[in-house]
This record gives sequence, structure tokens and C-alpha cells, in this order.
Amino acid sequence: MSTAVITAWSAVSPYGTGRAPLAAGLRTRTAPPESAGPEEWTAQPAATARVVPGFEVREALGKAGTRGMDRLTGLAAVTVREVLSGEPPAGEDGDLGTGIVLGTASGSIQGFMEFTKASLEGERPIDVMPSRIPNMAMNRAASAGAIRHALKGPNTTVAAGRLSGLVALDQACRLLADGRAERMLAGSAEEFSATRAHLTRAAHGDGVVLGEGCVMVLLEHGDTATGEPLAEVLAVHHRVAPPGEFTAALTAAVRAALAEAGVPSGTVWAAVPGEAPGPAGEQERRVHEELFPADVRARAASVALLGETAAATGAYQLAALLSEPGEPGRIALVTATDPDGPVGCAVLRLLTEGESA
Amino acid sequence: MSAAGIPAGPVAGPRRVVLTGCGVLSSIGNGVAEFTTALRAGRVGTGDITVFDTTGFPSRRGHQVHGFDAATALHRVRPEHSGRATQFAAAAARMALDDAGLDEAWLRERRGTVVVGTTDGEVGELDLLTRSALAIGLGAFTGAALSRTATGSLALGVVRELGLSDVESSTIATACAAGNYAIGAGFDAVRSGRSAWALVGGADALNRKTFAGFARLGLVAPDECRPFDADRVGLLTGEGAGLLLLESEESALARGAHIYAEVLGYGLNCDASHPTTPEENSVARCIRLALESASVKPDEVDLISAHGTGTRTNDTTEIAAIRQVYGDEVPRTVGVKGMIGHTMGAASALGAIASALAIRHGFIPPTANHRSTDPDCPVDVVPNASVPADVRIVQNNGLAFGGNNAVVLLGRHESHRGESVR
Repeated sequence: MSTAVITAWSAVSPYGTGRAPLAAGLRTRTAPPESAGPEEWTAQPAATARVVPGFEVREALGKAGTRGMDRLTGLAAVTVREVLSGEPPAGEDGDLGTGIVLGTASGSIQGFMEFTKASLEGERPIDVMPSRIPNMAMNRAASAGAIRHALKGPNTTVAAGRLSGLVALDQACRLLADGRAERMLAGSAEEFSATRAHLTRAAHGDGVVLGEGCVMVLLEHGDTATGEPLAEVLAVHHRVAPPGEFTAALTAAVRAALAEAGVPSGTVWAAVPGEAPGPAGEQERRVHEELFPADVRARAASVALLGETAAATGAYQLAALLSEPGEPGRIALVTATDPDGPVGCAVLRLLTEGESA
Repeated sequence: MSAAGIPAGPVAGPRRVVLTGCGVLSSIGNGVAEFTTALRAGRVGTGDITVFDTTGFPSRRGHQVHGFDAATALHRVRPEHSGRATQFAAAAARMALDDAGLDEAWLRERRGTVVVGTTDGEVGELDLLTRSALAIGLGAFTGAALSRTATGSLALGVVRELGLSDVESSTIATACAAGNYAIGAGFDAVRSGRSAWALVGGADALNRKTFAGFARLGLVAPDECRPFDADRVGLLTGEGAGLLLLESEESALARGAHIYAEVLGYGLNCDASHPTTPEENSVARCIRLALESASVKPDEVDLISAHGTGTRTNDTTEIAAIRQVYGDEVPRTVGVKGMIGHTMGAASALGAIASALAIRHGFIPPTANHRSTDPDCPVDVVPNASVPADVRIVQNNGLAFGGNNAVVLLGRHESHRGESVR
């Protein structure tokens, strides 16, 4: 069976635009700076977060086709551009094309609420901003990436909370395996916004530092890949824990993923948890302590460096593995837990020596 | 399509996938029996929207679900802790399970897949939060709001309602094609042997945000939605849910299940051209991908359940795309949105259920509210009254903002009970 291989990846992160700044930050275990978020409804002037520094959608993408575009879509569209840089896909009309699976928690909450606010406060309830209407479909970010780069394959937006990155990776691999695309971009994204900050702090405490960004990987068939394979996706397994009881379900998910990958847990070189807030994250850390020795747990960067990145977390975990140098052929895994119940694990074989320092 | 790359499941080689249970919430009836009767009668579910305040809008008409009592319909999900779309998804999943003659224990004994498509997720909850934040400020953001507004709560609501754990679950937010995307994901999961069953479909609840957006675009019809009509002026927003229980043919035959239809295949693609305007060549390409996936030739298709929103652009573009593939021999093409409105992420799931009912019961649901067919949509739309017909294969279209197309092919299941399975 031909497995999917990752042949490129990039990001827009609180370290800046592109793969290099994120990889360097993760490799050196350096937290990105906190800075002020965008000015928007319910924003508190003094609030800071690990936002993408100076990110403005129309500066990042130019003025064409970006009027009214929300921040989440801007982050995803820049990431698609960065992943494809130098290698625009050819033959999109002739073959199955390049697809995208993008994970999100709830789209642009800020954008949705500001739209409804305009309807509630306007002279007429239809006095909403026409330029923002395309954002009102939650598939805006995934489809905008496709439109800007003429990617005509399957274009999926998937929502699974903090599992979104893993679920996106899984669905992309399946679409490839089932012959529904030539190449797939998979990843997940989260925007910082004032409303997301309020929602997150109300749920998880005032001390939470929010992060944002987007990471995507380019997946190709292992036997026909045109790019240099960086990693092989061996297995993804996810399920749903009973309320509040993550330990057994996550342990089962890790074992199922390792079994599907055909690798014993003793061969795992690096294991990266999702660092969820609250009991989900605490139980996840204990599962890692139970299953993996300390050096395996410490080998790659913790995504906690980035702040609370919600739906983008899973994709950042992949970036942490892809950034970490080591011998080719090492086995690595990421786990994810969502406070609402979903838990999962992805197992990779890293095929290069990692990012050069 | 090649079988190469299919992961090894409990049964070697791809399995045939059948539909054995349907759950429906719609403006023309709740439950598959009421829905069937209403489709056959050509009933139209239009009325004044009451789930949010429509004061000041040019029209308050839409397709609302009535007679839905969440406290009765749901056993585990607490209505006071979940949004309307999540309640719809969970209730329709339970209906589909009952309709399939299965129970929760059967699901728990086997690994399964839950995928719910949606356009808006719990945007209705964000509408309420917006109103509350305008009234009382930041105190509106309470601890439960993050979970309650999460789009993933739709699929999670199904999982919680049925008390499941060994299940992969996700919500697909591919706008108004999401139901077909979800059916495709479930089809692949069962076909490959990764899952023994799949509960898939779509759910959406009426909300102010989407109503205002479509009204602002001038796409809302003042009275009725008239797909393919010469005088059509737009859509009517609707709400509802359609959940389908899929399992392997082997499993359905072994337990003596009633089979509505076989899922034959599907196609997905992206126009990659415009955020809100569909592109004819790309829609035609998606239809071809679906036919190829299903190993079906155009002349074998008896019925097309169109996306058919009743807007000028959609209907003309969609029919032109269909004619690219089918030439002058276009099968009867109906738009059920005349009856149930545009139920967004539920639309193509409810369209798929209507297609399966056409196959199972031998009738074609009509295109309601029809006066005269647009010369630019030269097809038999089966105006206003259903007709009896021998329906073997149906194509079900879903098109979305963002140029996201998804087409599903359903066919009559020909195997009889006891016959050896190929």
C-alpha cells in the first residue's frame, strides 16, 4: 500500500511568515513575543497575545480579491502561498487536482458576530457589510486558498475542536488513498480575536495566553511523489472520550494508531502532546508519562510555547516534529485531546535529518 | 476508481455500501414517514420564521422546523446545554438509528464514523451571544459558551446522544455542499472497512446572520422558492437535518435490514474561480467524477436531485453543467428546495434521502411552486405533482459558496436477501 508522504510544509505563526522562523523558534524552544491584537469590537486596549506580528490581510496578500477578507482566511491563504512557493501545481484541469483539507474550530467567530451586530444595530437589519458576505460561509478560508492558486481538487473544511489538525491530516490521507486527489494540502488554522479571547478565558481561566496561526503540509502518494519526502504518515486514529475521562480513551487511541502504523511503542523517538487547557491536558500529560520515557517526551518542542492555539494546535505539533533534527527513519507521534471529548493520535516516520540549524 | 491504496480492513477489498436508516427534520415533516408522504404530496413548508426576530426584514418567510421537542427527541443531550443545530443533528441521528432497526449497543460493539455537514454550525448561538454582549457587555461570555458555539459540537452531539466512544467524529463545514461531503466521507470509511457503520448527513438551524446575508445579496424570494422557473427570483432559507445510516451490504443482508439504496460513489472538486458564483465547466467536471466513481454511464441515470436553489445564477449554471454531461438526454431533474427551502448544510443530505425514497418507493418528488420552466433550463422538472416512476439510479447534487461541489450517486440495491454477495 502506498502511504502519504509530506513533501513540503509552511506556516504563518507568531514567529513570522514562512517555515523558517517557526522552525527556528521551535528548535531553540523560544517563546514568540506577545503583542497587541487587532482593533475590533470588544477588544481591550491593554490585552496582548502571541499574534502573528503586524499581520494585516491586505498587506500580506495584496488588494486584489481581499476586500473584507477575515483574518482567519488571510492566515490560511498566506500559508497556502508559502507551501506552494516555487512549485505551482500544473495540470489542475487534466488530473484530479490538488485538494485542501483545513481544520477550524468555528470559522471566524469575530467576523460572524460583527456581521450579526451590524444587522442588529443598522437602520435596517439587512444593513450588513456586502464585502464580508463571502466570509459568512465557514469554508471561506479553504476555498480562498484554492481560488488564489487554482487548486481544483476536493476542498474540505473540517471542524473538530483541538482535533481539527489531526482530522484534517487523516481526511487528506484518505482522499489521496481513495484516488480522489493528486496532491493534498492539510492543516489547521486559528485567528486571534477579541471574542475568541473572551470565550477562551471564560472557559479556561484568565491566565490563558492566546496564540494564532496556520500550518499546512503538502501530501503526495509515497510512490509518485515529486518532492523530497520529509515524513511518511503511518496512521491517524481518533475517538471520543467519555465526559471528563480522557486517560483510557487517549491510551486506546495511541495504541490503535501504533498498531495501525505497525510500530511498537518502544521505537517512538518523539511524542508531542497537544497541551490542552484543564483536565484534558493534565490527563494527556500523564498518559505520555505512562507510555513514553522522559527523553522521548522532551525531544521535540512543546506547542505550549505558542500559547493556546485551539484548532491550529495539531498542525503546530506536526511542525514541531518536522523542525527537530535527528536520524532519518525515526518514529514520532502527536496526540490531541479536546476538552469536549475527542482524542487522537497521529504516527509519522521522519525521513530527513530535519531542519538544518 | 482504483482499489489500490485502500487500507486492509476486516474484509479484503472494497465493500459495497448501503443506506439502511434515515432521520429527517424538515419544514414539511419530521421523520422519514412524514417526509415521504409530504414529498409525494408535493407539500410546501413555507411560513413565517419565528426562531429569531425578523422585524424590519423585507420578508420573514422561510422554512422552519415545527413540532420538534428536543426534550422528547433526545435521551442524553441536554437541550439547555446545546444549540439548535446540535439538537437537530443528534435527534436525526437517533431517528436514523431507529429507522435502521438498530440500537446503541449495536453501534458500540463496532467502530464507526460520525460526520455531520453544516454551513453555519452553531452560528445561531453566536447571534444570541452578540445580542447579549451588546446588552450587557463582556459578562455575556460565559464558561460554557466556547463549547456551545464550537462547530464540532454537531458531530459530538450525535456521539454523546448515542453514548458512543470508539467512533471517529467530525463536522464538515463545506457550506451548502457539506451534506454530500459527509456522505462521501462515510462511504469511504465503510467501503474501505475502516468503519462498520457511518452516521452521516447534515444539519443547520435558521439564524439571523445567514438570513441577513442572503437578504442583503437580494437573493431571498418574496413568496416562494421556484427552482428552474422563468420568473424565479431567489431562495428561501430553511433549516433541518438529514442523517443517513450507512453499513456494508454484507452487514445489512446478514441482519435482514431494509435497504433504501446503495451508495454507488461520489465526486468532489473545487471551481477555484469565484467565492459566490458557480462555474459551469467545474460543476460538469464534478458530475463526471461522481459518475466515474460510481461506474455509472449518464444514460443509466433516471433522476437528478438538483441543488436548484431558485436563484437566477445557480439554476442556469447547474442545468448548463448537467447538459454538458448528458447532452439533450437529460433525466428528469427536480429541485426539492421548492418544498423544504434551502436547508444549507442539510440540503444535500435531505436531497440524498429524497433520492433514496424515490428509489425505494418508486416516485419522483416534484419541483413545487412551478409556473413555467425557464427556457434556459430546458429539462423536465416534474412540476408541482409527483409522478410514479421506476427509479434505479439518482444523481444528487450539492454546490456551495467557495466553488465547493459534491455529487453523490445512489442506486437501487438489486441483491435479494439470501443471495450470495459478490
